[in-house]
Amino acid sequence: MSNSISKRKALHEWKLYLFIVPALLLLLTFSYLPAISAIYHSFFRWTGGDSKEFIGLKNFQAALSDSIFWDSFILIAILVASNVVKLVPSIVMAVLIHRLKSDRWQYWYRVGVVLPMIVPGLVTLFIWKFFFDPTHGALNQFLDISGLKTLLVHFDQALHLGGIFSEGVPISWLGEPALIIPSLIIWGFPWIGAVGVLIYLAGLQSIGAEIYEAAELDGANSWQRFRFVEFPLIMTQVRLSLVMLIIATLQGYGLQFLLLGPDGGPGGRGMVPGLWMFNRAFLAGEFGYACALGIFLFAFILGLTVLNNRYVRVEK
Amino acid sequence: MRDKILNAIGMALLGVCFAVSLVRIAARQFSRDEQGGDHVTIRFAHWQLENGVRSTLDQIAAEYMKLHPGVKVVQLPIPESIYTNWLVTQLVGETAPDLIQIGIGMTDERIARFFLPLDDLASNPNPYNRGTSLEDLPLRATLFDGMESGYVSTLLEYYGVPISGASVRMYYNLELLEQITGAGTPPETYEELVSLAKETQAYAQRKGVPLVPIAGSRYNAPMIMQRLFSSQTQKLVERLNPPGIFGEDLIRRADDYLDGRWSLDSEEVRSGFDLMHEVGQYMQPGFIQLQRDDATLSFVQGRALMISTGSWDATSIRQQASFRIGVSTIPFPSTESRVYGRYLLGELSEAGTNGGVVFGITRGSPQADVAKDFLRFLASQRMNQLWTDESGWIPAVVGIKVTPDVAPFLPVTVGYLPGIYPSIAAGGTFPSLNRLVGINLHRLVGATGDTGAFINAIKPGYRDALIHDLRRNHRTALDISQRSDTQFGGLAWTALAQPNDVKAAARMNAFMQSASMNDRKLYRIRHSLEKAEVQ
Amino acid sequence: MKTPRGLPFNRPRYQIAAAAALAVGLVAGWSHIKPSGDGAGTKRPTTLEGAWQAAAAFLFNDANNTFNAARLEPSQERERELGKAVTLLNVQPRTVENIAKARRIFETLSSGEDHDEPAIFSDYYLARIYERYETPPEPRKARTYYLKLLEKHAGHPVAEFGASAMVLMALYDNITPEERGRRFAGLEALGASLETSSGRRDYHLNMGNAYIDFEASREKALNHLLAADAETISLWQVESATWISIAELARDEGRDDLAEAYYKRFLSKYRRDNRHYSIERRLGALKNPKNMTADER
Repeated sequence: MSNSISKRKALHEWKLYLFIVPALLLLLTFSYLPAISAIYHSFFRWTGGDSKEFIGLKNFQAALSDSIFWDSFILIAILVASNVVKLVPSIVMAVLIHRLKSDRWQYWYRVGVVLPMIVPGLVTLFIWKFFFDPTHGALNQFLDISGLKTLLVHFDQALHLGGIFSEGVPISWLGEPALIIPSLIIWGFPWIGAVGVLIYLAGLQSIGAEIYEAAELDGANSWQRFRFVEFPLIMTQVRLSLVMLIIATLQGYGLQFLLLGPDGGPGGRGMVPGLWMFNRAFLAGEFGYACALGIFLFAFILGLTVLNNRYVRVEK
Repeated sequence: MRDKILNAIGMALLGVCFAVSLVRIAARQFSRDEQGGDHVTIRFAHWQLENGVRSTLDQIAAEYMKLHPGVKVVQLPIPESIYTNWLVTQLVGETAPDLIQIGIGMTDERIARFFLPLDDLASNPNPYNRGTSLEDLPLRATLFDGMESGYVSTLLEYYGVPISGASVRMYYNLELLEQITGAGTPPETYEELVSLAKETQAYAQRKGVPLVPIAGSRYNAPMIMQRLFSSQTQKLVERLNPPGIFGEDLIRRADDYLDGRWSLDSEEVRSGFDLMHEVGQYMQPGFIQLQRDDATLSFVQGRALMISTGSWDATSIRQQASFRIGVSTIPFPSTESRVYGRYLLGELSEAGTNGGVVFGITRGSPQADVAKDFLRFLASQRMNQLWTDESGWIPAVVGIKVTPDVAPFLPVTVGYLPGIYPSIAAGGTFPSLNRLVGINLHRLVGATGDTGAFINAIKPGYRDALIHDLRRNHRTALDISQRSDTQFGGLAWTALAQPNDVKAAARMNAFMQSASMNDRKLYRIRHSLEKAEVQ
Repeated sequence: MKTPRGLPFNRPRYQIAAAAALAVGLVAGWSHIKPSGDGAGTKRPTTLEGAWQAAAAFLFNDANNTFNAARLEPSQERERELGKAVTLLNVQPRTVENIAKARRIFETLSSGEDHDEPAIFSDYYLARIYERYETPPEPRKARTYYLKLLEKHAGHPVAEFGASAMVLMALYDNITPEERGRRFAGLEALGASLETSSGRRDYHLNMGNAYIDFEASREKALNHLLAADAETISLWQVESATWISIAELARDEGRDDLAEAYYKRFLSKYRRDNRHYSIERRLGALKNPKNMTADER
């Protein structure tokens, strides 16, 4: 945290503040203005065109009894929980890279982890969509070749799953309601995010050598070193990732939209709040109502952030 | 020293980028300012990125530029997914092209504010038809739909000119068809289609090749399924219509459902769902998770024998496929069919198909006269002939000779009206019903699909979804009615203030009929809702 | 400010160079984005005539602004007030306050001894407000104004346009069939009092279609639709549907000649219509009943 300086000193180089004016203007125009517009339009019946009618709180009243909207938070909760678990591979990868003795190998592994970042996220989504293709997708082909498909068929029969996995019938990952949530969880395997790895690596590299020496003197083994030294000292980064992950999961709907369509796929099982907002706005033409849903989502995320800031503190 | 040099390089790079962008913007502004005098540039924008369209429009533009050396015509193809955003930004920012394809993202207000009425264009002969049989006809009479696709009924004026038509057909891999059946003849009836599908499946199993009869997807499958479903409800519609009413009326169908005159258990409706279930078995497993491109890829790579899609995909498919393509109407059940013939009247009529690729002229165009002239040129017989010959799309101008490739896409004028669709309407009139049917479709068409299970799944929510959609339709009709109140004031006051103005009187007269028609609809929906809410 | 190594940001020459580059960029950018055409969409009207035309073209805010701001003669003030109120109904965003404001203006224009055009229009719009804008609608009050219009201004197109709205209000109410029958009977007399062709046409269309919708009387439905057709129906959707309805009703009533005539009229004028083939079959079956299928009979 920077030390506070006197007002006189701060205003001495006032011309420098002009350099941030363009960025501020852009932020106001492209970030704040749309948000303010959304709040404004949430009080209107607005079909997206030029005509709108002020209806007060009716959109919010309708949203309170919208079961599809509130049920979509259940899927969010599942995705948040699974995404928390998906943090683990990135942490493990960062620790493994950090423990490499050779700096050169460390460098190449870092490059190897970061290189996939040049592929746009949308392309990755399309590739995964192809993976999930029932007839030609890599996932089904792998299951067939490895014999795991047979295992799944036995699993289906044993648990009476109703023929989700049947011999001779390609698994429809995105066409079978029961498989939609597993598909959304599987997506992105092996869940090693470049940004996460780099953040954790930076945290690990700031751990002093003397701490490792002390641990070695105490007879700590590899797992104990991780559990008692490394993991606690990168908790700041982990918590930061957690906050970003929760917000991104709550707001995000691009994955579901691309894989499942605007209705959330068969049975609407893939419906998340953001996707329902999109559906109401662009399919039902209820833009004002979608804005009201957005306000609820915003309030929810704000509440979680406040809770996080107040109760989830990092002990330095 | 090294740092100084690196920093200097960084600053220099920044400076160079800034200079380049400055020069580019200045050059663009300079070319904009070049207009005036003899040199004019007009731009036209559209969202038709299918193969063949852009190159054909470039050819048409080149022909126009040959005739008018002082005019430059520039094409702006914009992806469909961002068209609305792009269009609104351009219109509001006053940087819109001179001609814009009207359709996506258009509301009445936007059309009224940003586009020029084209009644003068519609009512006068097209000078570019001189020397043809169309030379004395007003422009709208030279178009197969009478320019209805460009008429905005709420504004009572023409705002666009179509240059094409469209239809939906079944495409076949003729070479594969010959291999499977020994003859390359597409099926004519649904029963023949089923027989062919079974033969295809047997062939695939025998040869051990990955081949499905029909390439399906979220986009393609409904084209076949909705048509087949509506075949089973044709007679139902005739039975439901009161004396004096002929044809389909969505509000009436909704009212009939709420009154219990038909239901999801009606035998015609069950038969329709059975048809959908049956045809779904001949598409690739999990097709409802696939998109348009997946199905097209399947077909052009020879992994599917047939695909159903629009005439707008014909050129793209022909260019990508390495085999001969056959095209026919989507086979309809035969009236003689023991199973499906009882409920249907016959093939569907496409006589009322409207034109597409409708272009309008923006009010802010600094050279609206040149833009209008180019639009006349686009809609001329000679250029529309070029359009159909090169793009492979259906022409909009009457009397055009079509190639053998385009001929199968021409509208079929001999046929009956469709019946009800699974969500009553084929389009977006009932979006909640569409959603309900869509998210439960897997129960009907999946490997374990079953008509009974599907009906049981949608029945509980069908009435509520229908009422929700009726409320929405009521709201829309009320909006139109309320907006038309102010419009009426303008029209009536103008007509009464200028009693000798024939055009003003005609507009007011047309308005009254249009408004009354909407009011009747409004009251019928309200009546249905009041009845439903009392029950 | 402590400058980064190698870059003297606090030297005036660099500050001047940066400011100059920014200024040039802004000028170039502004010249690129500044409007070059006539303005976004339409030009704002400046006269009353232009304002009424803007109102007719859905440009409500522009029209309202002109009505508020135009400099007028005292004799035009009532027209201005009418224009303000008419456009207030749809000025964006639409609010309950604007509708109330419009109503007050209409009430002022309608009261008093003037029976000029603004007064007539005001009565019409008061009826509309009670019919379409109040939540819940107040049909009795709306009816009062519609009847007042017909009583005092028979023959005025605005007054008679209200008659067709009255028909819909009365017949599509949630009432018993017996009550509806009484209302049908009560409204039958209304047609005779209408003097304009458009008024009669819309009245007959609404009555005829209501008889069909409620399956109340085929004969009366037919008579009303024939009467509507005798006036000018210029909208093709209405004309084509009306001709078919007339033909179908005539056929059901055993008036085959009439049915044949209207089937032929439809077929001759509406060649490019999805119903064309079906109507051809109907005509064929009419002439040769043996050709009728069981469903067509």
